[in-house]
Amino acid sequence: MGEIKKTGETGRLAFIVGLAIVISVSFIFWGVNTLHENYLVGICLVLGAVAAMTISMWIFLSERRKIASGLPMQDERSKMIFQKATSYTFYTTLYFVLFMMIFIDEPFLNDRLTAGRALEAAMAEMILALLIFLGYFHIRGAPE
Amino acid sequence: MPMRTRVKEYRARYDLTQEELARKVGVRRETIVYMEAGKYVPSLKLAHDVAVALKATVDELFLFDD
Repeated sequence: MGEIKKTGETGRLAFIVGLAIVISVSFIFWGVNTLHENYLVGICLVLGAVAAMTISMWIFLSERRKIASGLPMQDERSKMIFQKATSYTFYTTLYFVLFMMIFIDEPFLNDRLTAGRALEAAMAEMILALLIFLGYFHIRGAPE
Repeated sequence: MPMRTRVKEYRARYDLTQEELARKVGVRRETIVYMEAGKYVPSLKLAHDVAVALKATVDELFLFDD
């Protein structure tokens, strides 16, 4: 019969949420610094980071309640969904980077796509793709 | 492969909620929800655990349309 390993579950949850908050705070600082250069991008970064922090706290509170009631944070289905989502994200990012490599030296971009911006875009794409695939497989039930 | 389950029927027989069954077999409630809806095909281990919890056999609980 399945046994619930409560030991370390809350710790793992706190670590993941803590990491998400640290990343969000870094994004807030980055956003504030960007405000001088590009107001719109800066505002978007700060708002995105605040939204991410709020979601992290909400996840932490709801998951903590579930763990306290004896339900595990992860099970075979959630692990399968995460594995599938990460592998899909990997392939998507591969194509995305390939696409950028093709167009990075195109004259119509007028040197706007620098290496730094390409890296930022790839990072943003990776996060977005992971969130989309996680949501998709979660709604669908599970990957076959 | 399309799958039908009788988990809901057996769960009702023993007056168990989805959360109670989830706790018994050590999975999240969503896994039971999707499994009952036939959207998630459980592993052999989970199918066995569910069958034990509901005092049934795997064959009785999970039906596959060939």
